[in-house]
Formats: sequence, C-alpha cells, structure tokens
Amino acid sequence: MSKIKILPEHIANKIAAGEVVERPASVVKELIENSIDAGADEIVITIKGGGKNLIQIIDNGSGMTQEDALLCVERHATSKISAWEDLEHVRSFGFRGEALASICSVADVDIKTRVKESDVAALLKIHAGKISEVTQEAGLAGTSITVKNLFYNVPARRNFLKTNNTEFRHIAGVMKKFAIAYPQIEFTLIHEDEKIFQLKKSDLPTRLEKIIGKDVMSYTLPVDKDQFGAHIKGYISKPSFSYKTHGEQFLFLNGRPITNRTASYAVFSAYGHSIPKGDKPFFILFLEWNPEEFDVNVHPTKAEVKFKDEQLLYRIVFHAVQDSMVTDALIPTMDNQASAETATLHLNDQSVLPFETQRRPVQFGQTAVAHEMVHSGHEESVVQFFSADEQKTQVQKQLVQRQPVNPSTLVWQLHNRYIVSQIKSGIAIIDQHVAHERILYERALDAFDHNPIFSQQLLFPQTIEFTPEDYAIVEHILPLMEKLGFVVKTFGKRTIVVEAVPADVRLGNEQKILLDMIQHYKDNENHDLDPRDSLAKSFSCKTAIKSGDPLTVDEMNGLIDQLFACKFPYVCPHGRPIIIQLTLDELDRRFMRIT
Amino acid sequence: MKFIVTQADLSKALVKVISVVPTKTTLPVLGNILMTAKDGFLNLTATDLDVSIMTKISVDVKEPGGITVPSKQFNELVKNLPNIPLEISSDAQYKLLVKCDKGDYRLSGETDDDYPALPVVDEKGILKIDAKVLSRMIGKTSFSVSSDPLRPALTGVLFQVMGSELRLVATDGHRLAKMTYTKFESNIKDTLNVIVPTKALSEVAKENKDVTSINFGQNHIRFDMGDTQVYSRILEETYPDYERVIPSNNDKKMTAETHMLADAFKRVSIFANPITHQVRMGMSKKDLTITAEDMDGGNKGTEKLKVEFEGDDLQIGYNAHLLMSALNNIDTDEVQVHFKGPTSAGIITPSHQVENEHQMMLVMPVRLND
Repeated sequence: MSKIKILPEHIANKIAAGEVVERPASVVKELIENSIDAGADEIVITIKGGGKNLIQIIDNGSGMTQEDALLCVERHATSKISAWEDLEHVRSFGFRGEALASICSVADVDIKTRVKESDVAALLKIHAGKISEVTQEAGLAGTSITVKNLFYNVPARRNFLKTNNTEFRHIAGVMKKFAIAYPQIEFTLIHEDEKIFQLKKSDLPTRLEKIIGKDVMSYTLPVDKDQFGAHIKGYISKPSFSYKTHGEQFLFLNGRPITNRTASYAVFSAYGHSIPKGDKPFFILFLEWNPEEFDVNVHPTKAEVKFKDEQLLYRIVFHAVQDSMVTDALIPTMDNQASAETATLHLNDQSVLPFETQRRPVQFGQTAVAHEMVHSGHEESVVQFFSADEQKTQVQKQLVQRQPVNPSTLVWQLHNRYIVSQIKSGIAIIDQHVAHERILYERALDAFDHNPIFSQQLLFPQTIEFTPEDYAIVEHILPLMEKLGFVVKTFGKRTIVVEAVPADVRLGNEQKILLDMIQHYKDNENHDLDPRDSLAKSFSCKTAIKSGDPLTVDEMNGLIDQLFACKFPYVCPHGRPIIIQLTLDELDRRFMRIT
Repeated sequence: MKFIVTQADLSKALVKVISVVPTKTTLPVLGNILMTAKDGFLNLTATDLDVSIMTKISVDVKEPGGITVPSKQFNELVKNLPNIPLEISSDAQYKLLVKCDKGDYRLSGETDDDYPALPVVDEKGILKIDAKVLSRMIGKTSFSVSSDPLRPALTGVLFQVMGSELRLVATDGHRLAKMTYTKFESNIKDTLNVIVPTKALSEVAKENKDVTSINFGQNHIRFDMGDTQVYSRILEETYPDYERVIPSNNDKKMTAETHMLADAFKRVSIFANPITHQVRMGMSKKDLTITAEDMDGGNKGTEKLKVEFEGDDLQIGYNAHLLMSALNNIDTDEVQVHFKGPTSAGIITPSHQVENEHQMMLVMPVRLND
C-alpha cells in the first residue's frame, strides 16, 4: 500500500483555512471584503466573546441567489474572476474563492442572502464544511453571514486564541482600516449586545477626524500627486508629530489595506532628517495604480503585495510626500491656526490627548469611554475606541522649541556654516543657508500675493547687459521681480538698470545676485510649475546667506526666529533638511547613560 | 643684539604694533614681531603684508642686531613685568633672553633675515595734516565702508586730494560719508585718488598728536606719525563716481536735536523687522512721526517728535541702522536732514560745520509700498 495519499477534502480545507483564517479578525476581514465587493454601503458587524462565539456581518449589498449561495461555500468558487488573465486586472478584494470555504470548514456558518429581485431569502446552514440545511424565509436584500463556534474542530488553533479582549482589539484594528478606506460606507460595530460605534457615511476628512481625531488631523499635511502613472493622495504628519511605532501608518492600494516596507521607508526618507531617528511619521496614503503593476496574489490574506518595480513605488511615494512638504507654502494648510507652536502646547496638555486612553488597560464593556459615548447617543468621535488597539503607540512631541534663556550663550556658529542651538529636548543644528533659503522662499511667495518686499534704493544704479535670450526671460519675470523688491528700468533690447534691491537682502553685489538669479531661473524653469514658484526658489537660493558667511549672535537669533515663523521650517525649497536634532536621549544613549 | 629698555616704553611700543599681526596666516614668520636695535633705538615692526607698522623707541643699545620673536608670548611677558629696566639680548641660536631683577626668560625666535622687508614708497606726493584732524576724518567716514569682498573698491576709504581740498569718502552703495578739510600742506599739483584699506586707517586713527605726513606712492601709502610709520597697500580699483549721485537740489529740510532723534530711532527700531530694520518717517511742518512695524511679529512702535521742517509733507522709509550710525557721527547738538522725495537720497549734515571742515552723510531710502 502506498504511503502517499490524497487528503480528503475536509482535511485539505482545514489546512487551507489555517492560512486564511488565523483568528476571528481574519474572518471579519474576509467577510467585510466580500460585503464591499458586493457593493454594500451599510455594514453591521456583531461580535460576541471576542469573535470566538459569534461573528455576524450584515450588509445591504447585492446578495446572492440560492443557486450562487450553494456554490459559494465550495473552494475556488468566486464571482470575481473567471479567467487567468483577469488576475492581472483584479480590482476587487477577493478572487481566490477560498475565504468562505475556509471559514465554513472551521466553524458553523449560517448564510442568509437575498437578491433584490427575489421575494425571499435563502438560508443555508453549514456544519463542518457541509451544507446541512437549506430553507427559504423572509429577509432583507443583502447578505447576512453568521459564524459561530470558530475553530470548534481545530482545538489547537482555538487554544492559541488570546483573551476575548485581545481578539476584539484585532477585530477593531481591521475595522479601522476599512473605515478609513471606505468613508462612503456606514460601519456599525456591536460587541456583547452593545453598540460600540456607528460611523455614518461621510467624506474622507470627516471620517478621519472621527477615527484619527481632530487634534491629530490638524497636524497633518495633505498629499495629492499624479505621476509615474499613479495617483497618490492622503495625509502625512508634519515632522513635528511622529510616532514611535508603525501603528499609525496606513497604506491603501486601490482601496486595499496593505503593508509595504518600501513605501514606509519612502515616506520616512522624504522627511529627510527632520524627524529623529527611530521615530515613524504618521501617514494615511491612498495609492491608485494600474493593477498590472503589482500582484496581490502573494499571500492568502493579501496583506502583502508584490510590486513589479519597487523602485518606482519608492519614487512615487517619496516624491509625493516630499512635494507636499516642500510646496506646503503654496497649499493652504488644513488649519492655519494650528501653528506648530500651539500644537506643542496642546499636546503637552495630556488631558486633551486622545491617546492617553491607550495607557489604561482597556476593558470593553466595563470602563471603556467609547461606551459612554455611544450611550450618550452621539456619534462624535471614536478615536478613543480605535486608539485602544495601539497600546504601544506613543505620541511624540518632536517640535523644536526654543528656550527663552539668554540667547547669546545658546547659539553659536559652527565653521561659519551651521548654527547650533540648545532646545528643550537637546540640541538643534541648523544649516544657515537652507534656513535662510526657506525664509526667503516663503517671503517671496508672500511678496507675490500680499506684501511686496521693500526696496532699498541704490546709490550707484547697476547697469546689466543680457543676451537677447536672457533678456526675454528678464522681461517675462519683471513684474514679479518688482514684487521681490528689485526696481529695474529697461533700456533698449538688452540692458537693464537696477535702481533698488530688496531690503531684506544683505548688502552685497546686487548685479551678481541678479545675474545668478536669472541663470538659476533659466536652468530650473519648470514649465509645469507656476513661474512664481521657480522664481521664488531662484530668489531664495541666490540671495540667502551662504555657507561660510560669518554671522553675529543677533543675526543668528534673527534667523532662527524667522525660521520658526515659517509655515514649514523643516525642509528647504529644494527638499533638503534644515534642522537636525540631537536629543538628550540620543546623547545619553551614546554616552551609555541609558541603554 | 643686546639692549636695555624700561618695561613701560617697550610695552607701549608693542601695543602699537601688535594689532597688525595677523591671527591666521600661511606664513608663520608673520606671527612674529621684528626687533632691530641700532644707533640708540629699538625698531619694532609687524606686518600682514598688506599693512605694516613700525615704531621706534630709544633704548640703551649694548650690541646692535635683530631678531623676530613670537608676538603673543613676548607681549604677554612684557605686559606682566613690573616697570623696571629690562636687559634683552639674543644669542646665535636666535634665543631671546629677557632679564630683570628676579626673572630670567628665554624665548625661541628666528632670524630677522626671513622677515619681509617694508615696502618702498616712491613719493609721488606728500601731504601734511594735523594728526587729530586726520584721525577725526577717518572716524567719521570709515564706518560707511562696504564689507563685501566682491566690491573691493568700496571696502576702503577714498583719499582724494583736489587743489586745496582733502576729501575722505566711504560708501557701501546704500549710504555714503564724506569729510572735507582745507588746512594742510601739500606738494600735490594734480588731482589724486587713492583707496586705502580700513585696517591701515584704524592704526592711523589711533594717533592724535602732532602732524601726520601722508606719503602717496604708486602702490603703497605711508603715514608718518612721529616715531611710528604705517604702510599700506593701495586698493588698485576704480572708485565709483560718487559726486554724481550726491543730489544738490534737496529742497526739504528737517532740523532736529541730534540726541533726541538718535534715541527715538533706537527705541522705535526695536519694533522693526530684525533684518530690514525698516522705519518710516512722516514729516509735516512741526513734527516728525517715526514708525516701525514688524509684519511677522505684529509689533509696532511709534514716536512723535517736535522738529522744524521746511517743505511739503513727506513720507519716507529708511533702514534705521544706517540712519543711526550716521546720527552717531554728528557732533553738533542739532542735525539737519535734507530730502527731496521718497526715493532719493537724504543728506545729513551737522547744523554748523567746524572751521576748515565740511561733513556730510548720505543715506538711500527704502521704498514704501504704498
């Protein structure tokens, strides 16, 4: 008798289920995906015993006919693809046809479903992977799936499950991702017969405010960019605000929550050195990309995706995030009042910090604040509920704050290039050139729109001659130059006379600055961009103090004060970091005071 | 070399030359001071190759000779010795020995052969002027020079001899200071223009006794001031035509108390933008309103002063720092400021000029955007 045998189907299914269905949260994930694929816009999830006793998902999606319902519990039964080629274009969540079959093989499942066209709903009872009963009864359009006694026939797996609370937190984590990705769908979560939350249909910002918190969202920058054939949008935290763990990073690929190290790293890199090592920026990014560029069929739960070109992914994310930071001055900020300074104060006040709840061991059904909130009948914010599953997450207040101590002893210039200053958390090192560049860049943009820069009259007007080509550029940008403070008269077809220069600029060789600016503008002119942006960059680059210029203490203090008055003091207009922090923690570590 | 000198004499002479010794140099010998003893005198010389200074004191020379010694250490030692006679000598290994009643100090020096020679000034013209006057003229102009190495001509002070006038002019392109003096002796027939670096002039300005004789050469200038000579390389640049830009038709005149005006600017400018230091002056018949506002910080300062003003009302913007440095160089109780319009130069003069002297300063305004 041969030793090798084909496994009976029910055993094979159980093994496969081990991959797909790891814990109650996996069941919730698979079933919500099915609901979304079915076009539902209201999904109610009921949980009992951390999902071990009961998981019920009711949606108002398209539903199934009785015929389809009978098939759907079979392995590899799917409505989502029919040919191999379809795999390349898959935009729905499911397509393997495995999930429901797997779940059915390890739990008692009731499926009640009705298509709109039918008068009655079909009710299937499944036990041990086999349909044990099929009846018809009255029911709403859509599908309701009830999963009971999960892993009743896989004791090993059942023993591995954690406490009800832990399992419930995992379920909440899954729901958080879907709630972010699908603000247009209403999600309701009921646990142990209590309604935990009900998230009404809304737009993304409103949904995020409810889930992430208004406070946190006010410290984010919007991202929105189309390039390399991909569209990326979402929010990233300002560098002043970052987390110690990966907990608060969300990446959605065509609406599917995924994790990807390359993308996370790209975001981190785009911040330059403006956030301390070891800290993770917070982000929520939605990437819309041609499905041919990646393969989701790598892992049964599809949490990891394989990209054809990881480098390209890196570039897409990196540039989008960097652009959002660099051109922030051109983009209206979400909340202009929430200046960096007030942000810190605010965060320091722990009473208003939503994340404070996370330090408490959360006992749902006993103490959770979420309950009070729901009972009070409001739908205000479920931040506290959601943050409960991020126990390790700590909010970092990484804002570089100046200390109001005698300034002369606290700033000094390093090799005429860097300004070193003591800050609350350690020391900050500022690159004087890029810092001034940022100041002038924002000043220039302000000058174009609101307050033109004052002009210092010159005693000796400077005559400059251009090539006809350059002269055309000069003529083109002349009105903007005037707003920057250059008072220029044109003579003939090639000559200009500079009568006044911006008063902000150090006394120096105006002629050279102007020529350099025109050259820089010519070299870097980007026709896709507003000429104002290009000119502002040229202006700031060429008129900023240089690396190597000695500065007095007053000048350094003035520079720092102005830098922190900038809308975005962390990255220069070309994307280089302006401030590097060395925290006392890091110094302590290096001196082995702490390990 | 061997001589005897009192500590006080030597220390005074060292202080005169030491400021020329460069702090950083690629030529180590320039960090030294040259000492030469001969004919009853000790000559002390320091140079940075652009500016050189030499001073002599009478000493009791026992053996003539020369040596160069590290300036800093030698100066520190001499400064801290009591005022007693010192016996200073050198040996064949260029060790300098300093002996006094209690102490015995030995300092490694170097041969005087390696020390750069002082420039020879071919005397194209000589001008003799009261040292105190020259010092005053330098003080009231050199503050206006430019620090921009890209415009070297403006980093020095222009010495201009025109007939019976000696003019000193300094400008950085945004302001200008000019001093004219008419009482001096000179053998210069033609007009002469020489740009002198400020480092040399700050040495010259320290002297305020007797008469200074200025020797104009082809490439160098030498100031003879009694026992001390300052040599300087001339900046071989073309000075801009400053006369053309000094307006002659400024028809509005403000007369104010100098200190009151300077103090008001000092207070109001605290509220100005820390980079531009911009202040606004509003003038009408009887008063002057000075305003400074920092848009970024939301700070504002205003003062209203009683002044005399002749002409139509005027609003004009200025960099307060340029104005204040000009006012600080006015010695009279009252100052006059002559204006034309909001974009032309304002001229600042004392209410009355010192005999034989004419002082004027010019400051370019900042355009007000309204």
